[in-house]
Amino acid sequence: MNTSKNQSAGVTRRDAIRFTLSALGVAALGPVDRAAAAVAPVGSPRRSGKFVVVVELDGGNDWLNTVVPQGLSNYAVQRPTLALGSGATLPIDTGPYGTSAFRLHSELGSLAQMYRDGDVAIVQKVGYQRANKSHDTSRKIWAQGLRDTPNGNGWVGRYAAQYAPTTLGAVSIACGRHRAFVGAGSDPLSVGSLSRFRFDNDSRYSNNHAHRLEVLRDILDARTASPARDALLTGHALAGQIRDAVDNYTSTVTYRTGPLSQRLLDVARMVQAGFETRVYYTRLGGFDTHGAQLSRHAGLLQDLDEGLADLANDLKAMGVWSDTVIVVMSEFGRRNFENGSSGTDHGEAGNMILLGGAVRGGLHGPALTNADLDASNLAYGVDFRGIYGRVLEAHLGVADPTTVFAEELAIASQPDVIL
Amino acid sequence: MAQKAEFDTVDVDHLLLRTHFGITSAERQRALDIGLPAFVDAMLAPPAIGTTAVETSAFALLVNSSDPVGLEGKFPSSNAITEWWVDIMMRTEAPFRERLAMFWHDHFAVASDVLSSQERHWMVDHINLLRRDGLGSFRDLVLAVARDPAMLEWLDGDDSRKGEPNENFAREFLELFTVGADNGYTEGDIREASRAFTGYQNRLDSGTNLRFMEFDVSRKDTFAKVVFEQVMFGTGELGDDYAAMVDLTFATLDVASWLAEKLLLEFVSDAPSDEQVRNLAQVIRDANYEMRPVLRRLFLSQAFYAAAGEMVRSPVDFGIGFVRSTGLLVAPRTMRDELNSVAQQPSRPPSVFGWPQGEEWLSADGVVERANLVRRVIGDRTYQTTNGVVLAMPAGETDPGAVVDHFAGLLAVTLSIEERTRLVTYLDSNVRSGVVVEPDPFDVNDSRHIDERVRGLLYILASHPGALAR
Repeated sequence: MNTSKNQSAGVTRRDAIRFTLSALGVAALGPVDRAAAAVAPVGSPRRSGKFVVVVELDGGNDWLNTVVPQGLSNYAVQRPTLALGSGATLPIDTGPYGTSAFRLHSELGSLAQMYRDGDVAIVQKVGYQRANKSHDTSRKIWAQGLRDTPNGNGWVGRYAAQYAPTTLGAVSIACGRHRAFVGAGSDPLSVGSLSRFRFDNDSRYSNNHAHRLEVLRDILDARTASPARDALLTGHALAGQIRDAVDNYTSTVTYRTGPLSQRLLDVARMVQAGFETRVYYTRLGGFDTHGAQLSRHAGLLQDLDEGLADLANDLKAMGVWSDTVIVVMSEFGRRNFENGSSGTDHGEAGNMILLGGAVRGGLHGPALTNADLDASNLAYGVDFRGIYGRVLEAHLGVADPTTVFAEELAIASQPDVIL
Repeated sequence: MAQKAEFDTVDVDHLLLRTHFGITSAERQRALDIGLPAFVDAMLAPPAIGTTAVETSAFALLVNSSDPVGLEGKFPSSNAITEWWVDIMMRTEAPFRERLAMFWHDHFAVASDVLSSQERHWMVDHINLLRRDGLGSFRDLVLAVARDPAMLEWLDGDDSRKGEPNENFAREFLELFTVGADNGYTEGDIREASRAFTGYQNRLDSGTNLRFMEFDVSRKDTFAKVVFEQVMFGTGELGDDYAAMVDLTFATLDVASWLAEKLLLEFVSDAPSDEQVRNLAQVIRDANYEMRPVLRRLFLSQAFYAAAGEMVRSPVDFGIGFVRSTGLLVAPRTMRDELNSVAQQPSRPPSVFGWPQGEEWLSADGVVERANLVRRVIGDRTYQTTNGVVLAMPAGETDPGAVVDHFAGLLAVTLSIEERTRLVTYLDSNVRSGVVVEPDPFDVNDSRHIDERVRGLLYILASHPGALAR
């Protein structure tokens, strides 16, 4: 390859790194030091400050079969085979925010208990204007927080660039490079899983292999910035720190084996290690239930419930539950009526669920009506960016959320989901 | 699209990096011998599928000892399907066919995950469809994929029937396979198209215990549909509306620009310009969507050679390429396992949107996983010894600088003077316990130097930023 061409291709990223360094006030430090600076000093209390964990239900969750409306006859009319009766749902009618307007899917036992404890907010009819039913387009709208400006940068990227401008300011787990993170002049960390994040040894020639890594780091340090070089350098800088976080982590909670539990275990490891991460982002896939929905959806919600319970119990044991807001979202809800394949096609509005010690529990947003369910799709009554904005403002201390979500919202009212 | 007249060694390496799995000495030499245009003609005319020794031996990976006579290879595991294809990629003498099939696999993005053991043979058929027809007409390919059992199962086409259409396939047909999101069609068109895509049924052959897709006219919506503001009736071909729907789409919407953009993103640039898209789209229309002449013009165009080294190599390109360039073949299972770790397992794309692209691959953990893939390949000595695998050393060279230059060239890494010196010093050093480095001249005849140092050199080169680019 041609080095000079490669440099010209990397101009944007190079500028981004300059911006990041100056924002930190550590322009004299190299990137290795920059990454090191993102980690709390050894021996400091194991506290990483307030943080948000976003859990994206990928594929479009069927919210009507997750938070199941009660006493609205059109629910069963629209879903002759998929409607969940009382035997397949759990009550949330006790506790400080008890309600009989909804019951939760029977696989959500832990979430129901946390609701009754007052730690869960359920926001109704969440969406955005002119709903788009394409997975890709709607995911993009949610990831960017932009409805009218296509191909902008991601909202987590914008937040991180302004308020948490280190490699570890925001971390995505098992999302690849999620679009919520892309652009905006920040370069947050994306990992598949923490325990894989290390350089394997060449056991036959361990000493030589250690030397190979030294040679590599010297080469990378000396090269001018490019996206490839920066990714490699970040990988080298962080591998050791993350290995320590995994190896030193201890907990009384035994995480279940489901994919979300395992991803959220990585969040707990980073929280306990004291990384100053403000936004964690992970996903659970498989929610595009066009067919054979009942059993598939139950399995997915079991994964969700186990993951949320494992993380919540762990964070409570660490004493950081009051620093925690977990946000559960999906790119759209599904059609009010079932299709002919025992499934549901792409719909519009849905719920957002927030949980944590910092969350104001209970139902939020405009009430769901029988007329809402008579339509093909659920119309939205709360803009998801209002919820994200409120979380940034009240939990992460962003004075002006429009610095992250700049578009004017057609529905501007924000339910106050944070204590 | 302006064509390039003269080609040199740099152009040959560029063509191999963009269209093969990395550079091999043999492919480079052959292109120099016969000339680049003739080399392009040859790679666009590979032998018929299933006719080579490599494919025959790879097929054995699909076969279980318990397979009934006559149904050998019909009951593969998901892992076996990946290993079968990866084995072909590592060893084939016609790598462009597999590269192009991977492009189509990313474009149509069917994953074996949803297939049961009675259906998994469809995934092999699906991959073979992409391998066989990838150089033909794009219109024919779209139609064949639309009716392909793996696709019918993947996007619920077999659940789409008269009175109860399922929109899943119709939406992706427009959004991903032919024209791109919101590009000249409406939600109403998707609903009408889903009525056109009706009639197929997933059935079990109790004799073979294999499932098959059957067209059943009673499941077809036989009323006229209004798509793209036109009334559409079925053509009668095979009794379904699939061909009519494909032809109406090609005739009405801008399929050529979407295909042009996808081809440019695969072969030319991570950020193609509008002008590049316009030019290639015109070539596509002029060729009536025939891929072979389109690709010939593309691979001999000035634009194709104008931006060397500016694209990011995908993990499959990188991993298979490392094996092919260095000669260090590994077991198919090893490569499948490592490609899983770097998040690009052929036959299992993460979703209907296929894999990430370009700089999306440059995550910090992704580059660590690539290093670990290379570590596994250079360390897989048991397999390599048993199978007589030979490291592709430069013939007749004893100088460590020549060894560095040889492998840097094959891995497409341009070294600075300082880096080259550092790597020569690396070859000229022994590392003792405690990572104590001491001078010890490199000896090409010392098998331990080859085993420890040259393999170590490959590890370092493969984690050089240049090795991630193409």
